[in-house]
Amino acid sequence: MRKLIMWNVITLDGYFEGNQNWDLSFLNIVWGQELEKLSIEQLNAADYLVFGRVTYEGMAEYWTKEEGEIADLMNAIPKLVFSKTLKSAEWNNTTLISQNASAEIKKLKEQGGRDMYVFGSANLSETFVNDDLFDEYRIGIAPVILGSGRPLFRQGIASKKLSLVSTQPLMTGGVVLSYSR
Amino acid sequence: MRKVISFMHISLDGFVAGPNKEMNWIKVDEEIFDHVGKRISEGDTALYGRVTYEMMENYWPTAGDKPTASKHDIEHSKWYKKVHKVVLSKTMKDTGLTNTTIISDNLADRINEIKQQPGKEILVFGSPAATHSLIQQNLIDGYWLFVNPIILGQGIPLFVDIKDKIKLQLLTTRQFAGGVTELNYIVDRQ
Repeated sequence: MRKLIMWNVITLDGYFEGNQNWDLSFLNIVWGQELEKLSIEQLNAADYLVFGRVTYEGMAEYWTKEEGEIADLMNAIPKLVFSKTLKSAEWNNTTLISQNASAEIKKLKEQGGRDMYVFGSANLSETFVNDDLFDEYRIGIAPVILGSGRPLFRQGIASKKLSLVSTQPLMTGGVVLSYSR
Repeated sequence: MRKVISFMHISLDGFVAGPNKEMNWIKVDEEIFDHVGKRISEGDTALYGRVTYEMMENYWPTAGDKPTASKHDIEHSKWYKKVHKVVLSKTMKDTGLTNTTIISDNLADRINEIKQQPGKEILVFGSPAATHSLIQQNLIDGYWLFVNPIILGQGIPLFVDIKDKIKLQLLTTRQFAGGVTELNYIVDRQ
């Protein structure tokens, strides 16, 4: 079965974004060779990237203007965006799906194949957490307490026991914690 | 200057207890006890909020005397009885308490006085409410966290009402067999 994997970098107090949309300045603290390598590995191992509308739009805007190895991978890789309101999805190699996200993901998992990654997409991720669809959670923790922002795991999300797979400290002071279901 | 270190077990989503103060999800096994025991025994001052202090007083003074006492019960009980305790409470009186200081107001002044005195690090054991006050007044110098392999969904958060960004330095990490990860930070005051 294909795996659905969450990948996010968050602050120690659990925010994946600051108060302004796309305030990701804390990412700069932890970014470096190690996270670049991890990103490239993940992109090379994936069949799909999965997004909700907001993350999709931001990523499309950003990556279509970028250059380099990661940009090439992000722009080329097959992408799924789940949205009931988007009329079209113009980023290269995107399939827009307006039907039930969990049902679609279940079908894709059963197909078998390589992994699917969810980046950002907190609302969509909450649905997947509640419907128990994530097989792995990879969380990069930046060495900063932001105080406010958008939480990755919102209050009220279903409680989930996890299994720690690895702890990877980064030279930049971040740490990547990987968990499986 | 002495440092005040917040020592907490937390869920992956940043809670220190469930909504009804549940802590049954917190994994502390032999391996973790041995590890934390070393750093704890090097400290000479323990800080608690009132609620946690009452829980500690209910258990630790006699924990080493039970016939079923574990090695950890015996060691930590001995240490607990000896250590100087500081309790943050607006309501407790310090009459009849040995080796215990109550701080009921002027938190920043009182804590800074203690920090200026010679001594080892001051560990804040759990105590979410007290910790929130200490963080808000910039009095926490480090975070010694044990991240448990669980998303709780709701409960008492570690970080609440924080106005300004706090930069941290990651000192060490360590993984434990039960799935807990230790993250050891100091506050970067530059």
